[in-house]
Amino acid sequence: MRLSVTALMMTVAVAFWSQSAFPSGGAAVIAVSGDPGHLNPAISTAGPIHAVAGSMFNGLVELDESGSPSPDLAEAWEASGDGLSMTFHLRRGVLWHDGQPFTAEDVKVTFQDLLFRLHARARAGLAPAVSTVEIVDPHTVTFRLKRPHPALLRQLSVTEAPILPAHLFAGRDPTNNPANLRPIGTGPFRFESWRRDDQLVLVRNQAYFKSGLPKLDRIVFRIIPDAAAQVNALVAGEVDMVSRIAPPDAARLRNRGITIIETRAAPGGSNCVMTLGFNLDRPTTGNLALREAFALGIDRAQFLDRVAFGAGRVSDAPIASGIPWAHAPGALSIWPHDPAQANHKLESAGFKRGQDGVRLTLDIVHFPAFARWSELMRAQLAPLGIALRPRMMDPAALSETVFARRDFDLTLISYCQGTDPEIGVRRMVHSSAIGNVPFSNAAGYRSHAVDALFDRAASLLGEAERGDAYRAAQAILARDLPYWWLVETSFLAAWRDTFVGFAPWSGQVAEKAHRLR
Amino acid sequence: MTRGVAAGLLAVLYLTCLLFAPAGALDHLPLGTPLLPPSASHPFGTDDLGRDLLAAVLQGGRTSLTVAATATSVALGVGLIVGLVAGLAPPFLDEIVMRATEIVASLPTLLLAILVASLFGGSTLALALVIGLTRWPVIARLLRIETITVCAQPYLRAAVALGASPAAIVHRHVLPALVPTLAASSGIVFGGAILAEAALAFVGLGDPAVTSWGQMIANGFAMLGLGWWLYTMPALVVVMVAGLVAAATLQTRMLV
Repeated sequence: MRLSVTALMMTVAVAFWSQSAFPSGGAAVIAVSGDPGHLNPAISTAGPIHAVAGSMFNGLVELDESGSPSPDLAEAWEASGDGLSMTFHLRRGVLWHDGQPFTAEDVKVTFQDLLFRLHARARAGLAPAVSTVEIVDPHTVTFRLKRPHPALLRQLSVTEAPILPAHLFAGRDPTNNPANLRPIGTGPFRFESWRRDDQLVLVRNQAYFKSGLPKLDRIVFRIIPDAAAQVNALVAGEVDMVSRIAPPDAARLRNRGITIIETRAAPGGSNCVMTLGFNLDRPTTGNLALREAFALGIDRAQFLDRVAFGAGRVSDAPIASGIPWAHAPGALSIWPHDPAQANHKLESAGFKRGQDGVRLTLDIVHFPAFARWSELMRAQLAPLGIALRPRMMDPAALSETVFARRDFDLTLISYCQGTDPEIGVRRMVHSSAIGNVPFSNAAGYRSHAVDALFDRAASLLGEAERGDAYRAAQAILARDLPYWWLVETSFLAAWRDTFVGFAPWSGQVAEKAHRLR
Repeated sequence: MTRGVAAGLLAVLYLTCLLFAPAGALDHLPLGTPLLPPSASHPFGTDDLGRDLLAAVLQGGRTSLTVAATATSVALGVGLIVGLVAGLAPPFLDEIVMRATEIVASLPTLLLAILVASLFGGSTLALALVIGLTRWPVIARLLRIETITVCAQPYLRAAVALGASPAAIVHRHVLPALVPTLAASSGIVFGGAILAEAALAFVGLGDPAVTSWGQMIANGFAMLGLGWWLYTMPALVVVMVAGLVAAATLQTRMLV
């Protein structure tokens, strides 16, 4: 009896104590689709790494849902008159999770040793434009540019350019650094524990530089690889938030106390376009007539309705409509859905049908998650005499197969174009982006005209002139067809109604989130 | 249901799959209205891409039943040889063979199949071989006991005394005695192979180029809120086939 009274008193005491120690509180459980492997977001663009690590780091700027920058680690910035340098004034008094002060040295080392070497998008989209990152004083850095680079600010968010601590990374091998497994950041949450393939726990950074944030005491990332299982966990209340749900699942979440929002952006990318890439090095897929037959023969509206369940829109230009100043409306309408003409193109290009009605068999490489896309494509192309052989592989194997060995005919990739064509479109089409960098120019496309137009657009400052150059490039791309742009897909995020304030478009998914009851 | 009827139904089902769902035919199914519930024109409804689900189930049966048939043949072949050798061989050889059999019996089919599928990609033949090559010990054990029992019978000792050759004895007397056991155990392997294929395809380790029942159930499961028929129909067919196999092969006594 005495024992149980003591236990009761202790429970009450603990309850009071924890209430006073954590004023705002609560925990959120967020589903992640895979074990991240490591937690260094500056040397990888892999989804699970950013889904977890984004909450532990900061970028120089923060991007809102539409991609507009606001201060994060940098509190102010100004461009020089010629557009050839950009100076950032860093926030003072920011501490790393281990208590060291954050300084300009951290910014310089992160860009030069990590991002420019190993972060696929920063390496392809930012490094070629930046000549040096200079330390002016401990709280000021200047980016010296090789040419005016208007997309710069949009490439400095926690997803595109997370800042890591120089005192742990300077002069060390970034791929084997122990801090990749026990990360030290400046972000709203700090690392607590990690059980492989099970869960990661982050706790509130009491010394976070944004006062009053974060509001949650901890976030638990539960690793649930299966999408259906993630949604079941959400319905059952085992998980509070799923940052990406499949469109068919949205249907069964209605009226179940779940908030669903549709966005163009998610950590790791925005304005994502499901894109069919042709290997231009192969005689078959290198043949323009064959690619034209694909453009004419594929019914993209069916993909939007039946695979994306209406979440998104059919692409009508190589650059997504979510970048309105660069988008060329109707650029792809030169290719209406016309199977008869597609058949004719194939016939006259010499792709004759065999005894079984098959003209040729092509392999198509993609992630297992895109199985329905390739299955519908198989069904649409079979009547044209094109047989597709799917080869599904995980990201590492796909990178190796497509970008290193170039052992494929077709590949189905969700290319996220970002908020500026410099971020995510240049890498797909510029000849300098051909090579062994994952998710770069998969087609192996080279066009002097397109290279020149992208270089020109990158060197201008005004969105109007830049847009003209991008629209001219899109007219060429629509004729050359190194890719066939299928559907601009939106992201669907879902969380329990007991929470508000998640930002599924940002790497800082839970910085402002809190529990209602 | 008598064994004959069940076996006949299974054969009819397999032939229907082969005849009405030739290889690659899934890609040639017309794309109609997606997600229609079962009706007279589409007895199983239509899937998310707009294909007739019954036609897709037949196509999946082609894969699933072929894997099961191949796996069963392999298991029967290996199991028969090992069982005969162990049953007829001198005790020390019997001992070695049976210990080796136990090692194989301890290998978990699903884990091994997952390993093979992730190493060599999901191929239908590889899947069938893995299932077949891990399921034979059950058969080998039963046939060994059966062989030893037959060899101890007076008529067999009489045949030896009359000077019949070992080959003739095996052919004339031992093999025919093994047939009922062989038939019964093939049912166990066949049913198990269908379920193993379904399980592997369900977790995404089948051949992505051809559909199968497991794959269809997995896909229907991913569309849980959109149509009960998407996973119920192929799942019912798997259960029905497993039941038919059991009815066709199991004898009144329980095996294993």
